[in-house]
Amino acid sequence: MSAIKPLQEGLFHFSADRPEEAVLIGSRCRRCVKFFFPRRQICACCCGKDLEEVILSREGTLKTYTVVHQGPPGWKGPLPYIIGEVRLSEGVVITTHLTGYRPENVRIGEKMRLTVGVLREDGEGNRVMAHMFRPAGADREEVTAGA
Amino acid sequence: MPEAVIAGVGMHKCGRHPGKSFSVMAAEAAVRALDDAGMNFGDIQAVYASHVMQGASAGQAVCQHLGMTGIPVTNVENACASGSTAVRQAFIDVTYGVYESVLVVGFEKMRQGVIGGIGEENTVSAELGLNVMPALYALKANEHMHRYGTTREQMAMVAVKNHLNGCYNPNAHFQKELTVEEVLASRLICDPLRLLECCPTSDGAAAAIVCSERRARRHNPGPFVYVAGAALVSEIYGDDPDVTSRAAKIAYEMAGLGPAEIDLAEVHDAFSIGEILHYESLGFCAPGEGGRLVETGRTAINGDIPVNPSGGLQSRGHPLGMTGVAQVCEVAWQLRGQAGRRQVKGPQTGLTHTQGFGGVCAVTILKR
Repeated sequence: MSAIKPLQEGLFHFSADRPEEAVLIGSRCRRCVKFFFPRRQICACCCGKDLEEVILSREGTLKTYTVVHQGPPGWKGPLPYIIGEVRLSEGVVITTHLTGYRPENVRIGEKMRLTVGVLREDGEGNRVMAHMFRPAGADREEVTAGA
Repeated sequence: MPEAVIAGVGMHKCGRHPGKSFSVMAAEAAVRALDDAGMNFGDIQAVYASHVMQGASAGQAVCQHLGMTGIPVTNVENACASGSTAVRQAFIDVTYGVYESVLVVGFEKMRQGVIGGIGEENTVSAELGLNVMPALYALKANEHMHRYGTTREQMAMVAVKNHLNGCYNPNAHFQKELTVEEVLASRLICDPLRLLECCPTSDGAAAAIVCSERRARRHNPGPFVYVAGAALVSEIYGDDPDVTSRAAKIAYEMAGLGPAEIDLAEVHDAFSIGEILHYESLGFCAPGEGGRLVETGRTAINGDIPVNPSGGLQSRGHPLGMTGVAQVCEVAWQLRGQAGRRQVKGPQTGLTHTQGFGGVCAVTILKR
């Protein structure tokens, strides 16, 4: 059986059989109380170094989206794919793939929930997993199928 | 401080030029600009060469065609704003008296396909397939449509207007009119943006001579086009205010002008929605009104704020390193009354604007 591996270490915590319990790893600046994702060493606002690692909230609101019909040169994943910007309650905006529904059903302003899904397969048959958002109302089976 | 003038401009036609190297195209544009200024390369004290993907020391390769005079040649890369960045650097050098005569030359030979594969490799954004220029603009398009009711037809009208303007520009890649129906029937690239709302990939080159007024007059009686302001910014966290608003504010303050006093503008219309967003950020209309501005014809050549009389990136083309310099060429021709059938009536001021990947934006204001 092929292995699964995260897109990059340090982006999220997850277990393969419970993708809906995944959480994003971010940073919070102790001085200006801004949140960031992915985590960082230096605050983008005050340039200070007093940051702590935090777990970000799993739910947010869809700010905008697009359906990509022509990917970047060398794109190895499926087409089309949906990308969206999801604003979390901490104020941080996450730009990533949307999953679990058809493109024509995407609605700006909708409540979204974090999941982890298969982005693509790498050259050795491993499934590369990425953080994604799905509509908060969608059921779990649909999400798994969509990935 | 000496006033910086655009002493000469010149272009190489945009299009597909498979048999011609970037250095030959760029040298031809530079010779036209030097001729326009009444100068030869021996009169130039420094060169800024803007390009994005032409490799190491491409500017030196261009200059070897022009004359080997030993002057400093600096290559400038700032994504879509590379050319504008080079113009601004020449403006600073002349204004602060570092040099009296500077050649800016921008050029690119583009690969076909979406402008992608940009940015650092193996980053999270690259792996997720986010570094696709039309996708980044499509995100903004859907947000603007949702928030303000901007329509697909209004976005298509940007492409229609700019392709009409391009019909009158001999340096444009395309001299072909489009209809709204044709734009909306072209294939989806990143929803809602369609193929005919995306700039083509073109080869091309443009050059401008930036001089002190005193130096320019030794070679050419004028009248000259003056550089009144030149701003360059990068993104702040959260992008609010956005890069274009911030660059415009700086350039307007340098020039002592406001948006109502701009007579024409060359604006970054790599994607149709971009021009609509930039109308608003440049202050040509209120937030949310950009779609209506194009729909009511106010940004046409005979409108009250003509935008992209050259045909813009959509029709002239967008050889990345060329664009900001070509915008300066167009505004100079317009302010000198030499724009032929695309001439805007009696302009005294003009603005150029480019915005690129990674949060870069430049605004330049020229005046008679």
